[in-house]
Amino acid sequence: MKKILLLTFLVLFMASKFIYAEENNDALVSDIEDKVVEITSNFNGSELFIFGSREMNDNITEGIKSGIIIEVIATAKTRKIRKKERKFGIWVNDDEKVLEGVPDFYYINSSENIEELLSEDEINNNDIGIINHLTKNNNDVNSDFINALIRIKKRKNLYQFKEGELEFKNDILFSTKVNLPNNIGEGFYVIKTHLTDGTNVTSVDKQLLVVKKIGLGNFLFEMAHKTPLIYGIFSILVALFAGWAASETFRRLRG
Amino acid sequence: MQVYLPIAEVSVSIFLLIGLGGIVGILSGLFGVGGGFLMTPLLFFIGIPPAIAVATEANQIVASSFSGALAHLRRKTVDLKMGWILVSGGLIGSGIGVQIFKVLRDLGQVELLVTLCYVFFLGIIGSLMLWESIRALIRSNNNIRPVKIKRHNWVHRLPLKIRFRTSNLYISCIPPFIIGALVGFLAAIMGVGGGFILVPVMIYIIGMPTKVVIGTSLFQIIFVTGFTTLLHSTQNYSVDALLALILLIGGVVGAQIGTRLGVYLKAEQLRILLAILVLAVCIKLGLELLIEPTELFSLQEITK
Repeated sequence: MKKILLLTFLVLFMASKFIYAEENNDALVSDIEDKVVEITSNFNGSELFIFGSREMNDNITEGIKSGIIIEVIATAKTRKIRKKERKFGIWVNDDEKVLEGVPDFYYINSSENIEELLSEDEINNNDIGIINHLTKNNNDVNSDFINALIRIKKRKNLYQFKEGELEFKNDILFSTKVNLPNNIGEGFYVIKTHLTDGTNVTSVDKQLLVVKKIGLGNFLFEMAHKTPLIYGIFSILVALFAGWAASETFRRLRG
Repeated sequence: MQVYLPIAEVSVSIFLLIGLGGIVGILSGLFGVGGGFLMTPLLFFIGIPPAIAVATEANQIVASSFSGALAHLRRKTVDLKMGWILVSGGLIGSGIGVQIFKVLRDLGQVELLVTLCYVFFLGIIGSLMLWESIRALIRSNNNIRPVKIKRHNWVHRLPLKIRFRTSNLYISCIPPFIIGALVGFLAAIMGVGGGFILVPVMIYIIGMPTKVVIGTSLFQIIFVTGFTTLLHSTQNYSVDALLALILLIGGVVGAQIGTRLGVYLKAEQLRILLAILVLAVCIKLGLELLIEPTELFSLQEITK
């Protein structure tokens, strides 16, 4: 039932967007279902539904692939990455590198392999792919460290690579679901959709997703970072109260 | 059901946390141990970052020690004078510990320090406990009386002597101050109350009567873990109050069950199991240092 509703919604949305798009001579439109993901105290991941449509281009010569590339890139942060070495017989952290512009979350999906949709120069110019993104920000860092970061993030499902997995409904409409795992961080997530003609990016559409903590979790996080002294006293008082309550409860139970 | 821990920034099953709190609570009720030295490594094993586990455990111990100390205060089995001297040492030790913790955290070596401390102390405690309980078993079979402890030793020759009426002692305040400081240091680094060191030292070295030892050590632990919680939250932002609250719900209930179970079970024989458990945790932590990890790299967010 939800699927049918969504599909109806999608078709109606496309129809309305197309009228608008034609006026603007825009060949690509995209949107997301929910603009906000809220991390509550019982947050267990979420799904991001991305959909859109491309205009069929009659000018494209046969054999050249026109396609779509979707990227989801979370707010960039500075991260430290450390490598363990064996010293005195035990494994300890040794070499460390600071990486700039590391997105907490990254997702890429495309209708074909990226190399078939774009020339190598165009991939680099448009910063497509996480390696390009990270290398540009950290060109002095050994690629071992960058690859390790991607590996670690991928294992936690925070970097997802789905190249070539995007499917079209009827050559025009496309949609995809992104699994946002329960360990995602707060921030602004940019959803970048690229339309390509086989060599170049012909159109880009961007959407913004807000991921924010709410409720008790957010209250505690904000207090812990903004007013740590009050938070510390609060934590102690909660513990003292719990200890007192436990002692009283069991004293009464014993009679 | 998953619960998102706001400071640790991970989702963990709430039943797993309450279960862990409960099991450690039962053990602490059964054997009269604080449980911090088991809970903190268990938190590492379920994926809580070590810095968070240590600071949060200190916060949880505030609750369990307060609940225990209240009973002792009612029964007047707390030597307050001794307690305050232990506390004053403890605050200094905790202050030093948290500063070292902060510096090593920035250097990326705090996990190493915490793990090494655990391997060292769990190894010693586990071995002593195993040795003691095996001897106790042999003794109970052969009916040999335990050796009497000498009460007069080098401690009685130190200066700055004070009279402790509750403990019926006239000794120097230096040893309690130093042991208080050591325990404070361990609370900051390991997230333990330190009863496992405090209690034997108070009995065998300071020579306090057994009936006031537990209450006095709990009294000191409230203040020291409280101060450690305060320092960790202002210096390292690493106290997860929600995690502490969930753990202590399981913990207080478990402790009550454990105390009651202790009446029916032969604790002397169970002590062997506790010793084996402590050694198992020690070996697991030790192997993590010795065996080449599958992932050599690790990530850290830079806190500004």
